[in-house]
Amino acid sequence: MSMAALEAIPDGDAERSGELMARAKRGDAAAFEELMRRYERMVLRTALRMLGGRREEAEDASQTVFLKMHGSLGRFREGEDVAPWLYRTTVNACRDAGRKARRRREVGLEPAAGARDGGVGPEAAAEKERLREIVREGLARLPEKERAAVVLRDVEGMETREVAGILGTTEATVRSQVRSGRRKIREFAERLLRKRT
Amino acid sequence: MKCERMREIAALVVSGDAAADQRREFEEHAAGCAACREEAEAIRAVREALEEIGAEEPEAVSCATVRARVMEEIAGRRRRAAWGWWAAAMAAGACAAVVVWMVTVRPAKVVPAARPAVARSVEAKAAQSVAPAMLRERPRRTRARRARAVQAQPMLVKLESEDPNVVIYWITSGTGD
Repeated sequence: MSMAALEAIPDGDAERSGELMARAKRGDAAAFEELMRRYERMVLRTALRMLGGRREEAEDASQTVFLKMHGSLGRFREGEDVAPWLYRTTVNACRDAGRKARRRREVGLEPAAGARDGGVGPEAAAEKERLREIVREGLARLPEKERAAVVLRDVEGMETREVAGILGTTEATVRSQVRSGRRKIREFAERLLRKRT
Repeated sequence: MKCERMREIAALVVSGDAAADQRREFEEHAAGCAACREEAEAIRAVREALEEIGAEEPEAVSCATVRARVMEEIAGRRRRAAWGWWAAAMAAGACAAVVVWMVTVRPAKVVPAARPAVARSVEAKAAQSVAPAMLRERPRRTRARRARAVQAQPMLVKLESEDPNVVIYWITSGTGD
């Protein structure tokens, strides 16, 4: 498992996670809550990147993920690392949320991503922060599959093989999606920076 | 054409995702092509920005909000499930009580209803009109008919349970229909 996923678990205590999982399976709500604490940052961070930083949607998607996890406790084997399952479920929940948001935008209920934020606040921001903002926006504009690949590979720092496993595709496809996604973000950043200068 | 292909490769070279021969090809090309070197640097900068975004933690308040909502929903589901079990148990208990009550109820007395006056007078007239000779010839058959006639009268049935407050009456035909 990637460093990002391991960092999500305080103390790196897999044994403790296994014990919490066993207790949660027996209906111990406190144990489930502690499990949630271990993975909530990872899930919420992925959801935020997948949903272009739209916090409310990311919170809703994360809620869906943890409720699904609670409903699926019985399927986890003893000592199984739940992080890959959580990543996969988060990506799927974000895809569903993205589709719903697109439908709402189509009927004029919600502004498009980026439009709501009113662009980047440049005056006080350092050069790096400005680039991060642009990249964040570019990431939000990527097609869903490319975004998922870039989020897991570059933002979450997973290996290509792990990303392929989570997304249920081949490493070659992941490489192609990552390559295309990075180039699109770069082109987007270049366009934006050129426009501003 | 060559540069376009090299830029495709550049997007993978920066993260070590390019195959060894592709990487070598790119390095040889980039040594003499400033535009492709620039492209690789730009992609590297994007990748660094993405990594920095990954290091940013979501707001603690968001985590707490999600956790609270999830735990509340789980508690709600449990309450609903417990209520469902309780309702099912109550329903099962009620059904069991009815069954027990029905099994323990026993018919105590069967009280023949008083025959209506109209029936008695019809019988009397019929008896008067029958010739004595016929009565002598077929006495048993007549008695059987008379018994059937008595049975055909409506009967009042009283059913008593162990509970003195519960008594059921009903009217039935004498034939048991």
